[in-house]
Amino acid sequence: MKQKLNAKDFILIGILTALMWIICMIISTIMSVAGPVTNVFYPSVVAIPNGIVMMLLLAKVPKKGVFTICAAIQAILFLLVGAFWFLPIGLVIGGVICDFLIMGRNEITMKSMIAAYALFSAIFAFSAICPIKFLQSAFVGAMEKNNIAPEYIQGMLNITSVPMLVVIVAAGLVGGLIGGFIGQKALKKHFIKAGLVSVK
Amino acid sequence: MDETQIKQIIKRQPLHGTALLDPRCKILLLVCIGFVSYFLAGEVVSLALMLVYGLFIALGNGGKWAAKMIITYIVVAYLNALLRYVQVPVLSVIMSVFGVTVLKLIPIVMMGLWILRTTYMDDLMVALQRMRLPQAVTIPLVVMFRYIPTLRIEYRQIRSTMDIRGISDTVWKRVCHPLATIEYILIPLLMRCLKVTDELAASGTTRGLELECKRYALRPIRFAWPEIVVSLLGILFLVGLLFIDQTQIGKIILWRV
Amino acid sequence: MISFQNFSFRYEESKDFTLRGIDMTVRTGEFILLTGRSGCGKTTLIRSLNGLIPHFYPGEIKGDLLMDGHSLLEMKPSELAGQVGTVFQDPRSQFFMTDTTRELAFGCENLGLAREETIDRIARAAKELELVEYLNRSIFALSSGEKQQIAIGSVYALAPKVYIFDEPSANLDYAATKRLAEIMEKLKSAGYTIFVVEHRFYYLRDLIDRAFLIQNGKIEHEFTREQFCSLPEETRISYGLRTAYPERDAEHYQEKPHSQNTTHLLEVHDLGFAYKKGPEVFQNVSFEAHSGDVIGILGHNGAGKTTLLSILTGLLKQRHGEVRLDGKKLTPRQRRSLSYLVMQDTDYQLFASSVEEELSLGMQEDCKEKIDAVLNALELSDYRERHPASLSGGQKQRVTIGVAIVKDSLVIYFDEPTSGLDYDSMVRVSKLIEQLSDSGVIVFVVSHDFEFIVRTCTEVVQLDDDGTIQNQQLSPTVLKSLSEKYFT
Repeated sequence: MKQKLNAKDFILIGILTALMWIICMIISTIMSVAGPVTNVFYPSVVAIPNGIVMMLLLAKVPKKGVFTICAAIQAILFLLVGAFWFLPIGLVIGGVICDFLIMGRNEITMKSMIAAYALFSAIFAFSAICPIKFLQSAFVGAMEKNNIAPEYIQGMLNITSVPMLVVIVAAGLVGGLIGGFIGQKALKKHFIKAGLVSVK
Repeated sequence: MDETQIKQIIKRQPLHGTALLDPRCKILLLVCIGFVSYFLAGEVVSLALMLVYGLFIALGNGGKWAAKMIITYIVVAYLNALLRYVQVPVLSVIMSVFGVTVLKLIPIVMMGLWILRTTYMDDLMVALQRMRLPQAVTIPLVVMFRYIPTLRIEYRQIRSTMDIRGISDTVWKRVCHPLATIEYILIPLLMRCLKVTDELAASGTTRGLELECKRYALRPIRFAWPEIVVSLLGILFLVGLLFIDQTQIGKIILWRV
Repeated sequence: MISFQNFSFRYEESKDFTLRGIDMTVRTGEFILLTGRSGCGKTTLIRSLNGLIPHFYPGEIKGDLLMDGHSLLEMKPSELAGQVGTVFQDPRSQFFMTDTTRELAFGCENLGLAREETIDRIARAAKELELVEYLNRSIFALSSGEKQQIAIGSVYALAPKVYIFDEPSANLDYAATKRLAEIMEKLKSAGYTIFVVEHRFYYLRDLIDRAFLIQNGKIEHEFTREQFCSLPEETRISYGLRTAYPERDAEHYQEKPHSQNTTHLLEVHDLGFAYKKGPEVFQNVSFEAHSGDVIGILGHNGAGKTTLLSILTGLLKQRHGEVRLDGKKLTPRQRRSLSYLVMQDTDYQLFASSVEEELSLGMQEDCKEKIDAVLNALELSDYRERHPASLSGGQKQRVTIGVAIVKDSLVIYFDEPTSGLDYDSMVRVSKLIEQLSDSGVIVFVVSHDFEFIVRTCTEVVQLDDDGTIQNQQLSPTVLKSLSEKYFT
């Protein structure tokens, strides 16, 4: 069943993306205030509640293009609130990949939904945190100006080292899997039971 | 009141100056600032960026907002400079990173939220359409901007029921059962989202939302001379800042305590 | 001219036909009322008129539907946009733009009209429908009634020949309903064809040309205005219809004996509230209630009824004054634990995945027997395992009332319990409230529904716009003055 997206689908995407984005903003703000170490893991935490929303969206609109649109809208919003340009671009690319590699080929099933979502959230984690690597020189410069001891600067470089980035991306993947899993449980428990959506 | 008077009221603009620029121009500037802000290392040039764009915003209904953001910027910059006296291992490094990020973010947030506040939805739809963006992007975006304020009201309604019924009503319960709390908040919210979608879609389609005609907003949307001049000046200024940043001026330390 | 020719429709997901063999011909300029019990198919009927059926809600169609000789079924809703205009039930979820002027222009912009043409049209809409004072305002700051008027204006600007109203008064207070009737009268005298689906149709009694009673997807009866408005009481009730003359209820009102139950006494003393930086919403609100009282809280939208409910239920803290139960001062937390609020939108109040689980949610101890009893009393036993979201509006409302009973709430507040309900459901809610009152619960009802208030309440508290309050035992004189306020 391959249908074109219609206005109703666009509206649902808009509303649910608004919800996901607000959740993302709240969690990232709380985690940034809680401390910069927790901050780098916010994408994986965000992925958990958003998993419920995304699973509902995918189940309700099982058509090609949902991921891309959803990612593009979030990208535009991130642009508006000052995210580093790497994040929006990463999001859109991630959305397209998820759409065409996983959802595009065959019928949408529970499994492909979860796989696509986990991949998407890993890409999100990567594009949200990776800029730290790009900005390293700026941070180091700022710290030198602030007279911070070189050994601490070394510590800073360690935080943003490559293995750390791998850990962050892996956490994003795991967060996506957990979120997708919880989302599907919620989907079965509520939306499918209430007859609002149906998924194979 | 006759129709000519009413037309006057319709055409009356609460917005003026730079706020009336084509949304495409505003967005272009925002993207450029977003790109440049992260690469400016010098403190003088960063402040210049903040001040010049603050002025730009102040010329278009954003005076108070710009002032607020500039003050925030200066406060954060000073706090960041204070860090050198607090030599707590790891923490001060981390705080320094945090402070630098916030400083880079402030000009973009200032510009982004100003654009949101001073752009009419129909201007935005027209601008996006002229950028050849499909309905797949314009409709969700417009729906989002309209739905985010509603979301807060709906969240409050759900929370009040939870409080009355004693479901996840204390911090303790929320900490012990985070997943259950998420479920209790999200499920009614999502049910509501599905319903609102149906109603909005019905209301939209019966008013011709799906038609892809060329749209005309209530005021002319054109990327004309003012937009071209502003965009060029804005970009030239940013490029200039990048250059100055490489010179001695970029090394001046502005924030001392 | 619009004619349904042996028109039947079945939704894709259901087995049975929702509409069966509808034959109806409506001349241009007629004012048609479609009424009948909830779920009878009247909404489906108008969905086929504005093109939502079959393009938006797919399904199987038999027969034909013609407008001026052309079949409507082949036209998409967007193609019908300039011809058939629809105003939906909930004004909150109908707008796309964030300010009123752009919302009025929304339809015209979709059609791709030139700028000057759009401005001409919305200026005309603002003039004809008297919306000038709302221009250039934020939609979020408007009341439901004002939003509704903007929604009508936006449809008007599209210049359709046919107007459809889907339960337009469900979310409005009396003043706004009056205003709605005025707008409809203007549209009618301008020669438009108008279809209205409505349960509470008293405000249309001077406007309708013909009324159709729909039952089980068929047109059961067709009435002229005279026939319809003078239906004998028994016949009307057997059709499940609301009254066309709610003010007559006031004349036949029999005073309800004041509750003799003195188990509990709730006193509200000198209550006042203001939002931060805002003016006083109300002040010096004082009244008292005994166990078994059913107190109607009346007032215009914006008079502070919702705020008062929030304070009484403990969701907000009062600025000054106090709430006492049996002489003991109550903190907001205590108020929350002993009261329950049944909201107008039950969507916000249902959390669990089955009715049974919903009732036990938030309960500490095991209360299986109690839940069984409540389910029986509310006739919900058959739905025990069903997901609350799959129930009908009336059933959902009963589930939330059930929660209040299981919780042993001493005070239960109802916010607009009868909006969008047909006669039978209204009577049912009224009887339920009576049972609650007999069992010693203090009931507060915020309502605009005169028929329901007369039937249910023993006392009324009136909030006026200036923040003052009147507390009266419901009596024929009070009702008389109320009905004058509402209906003239």
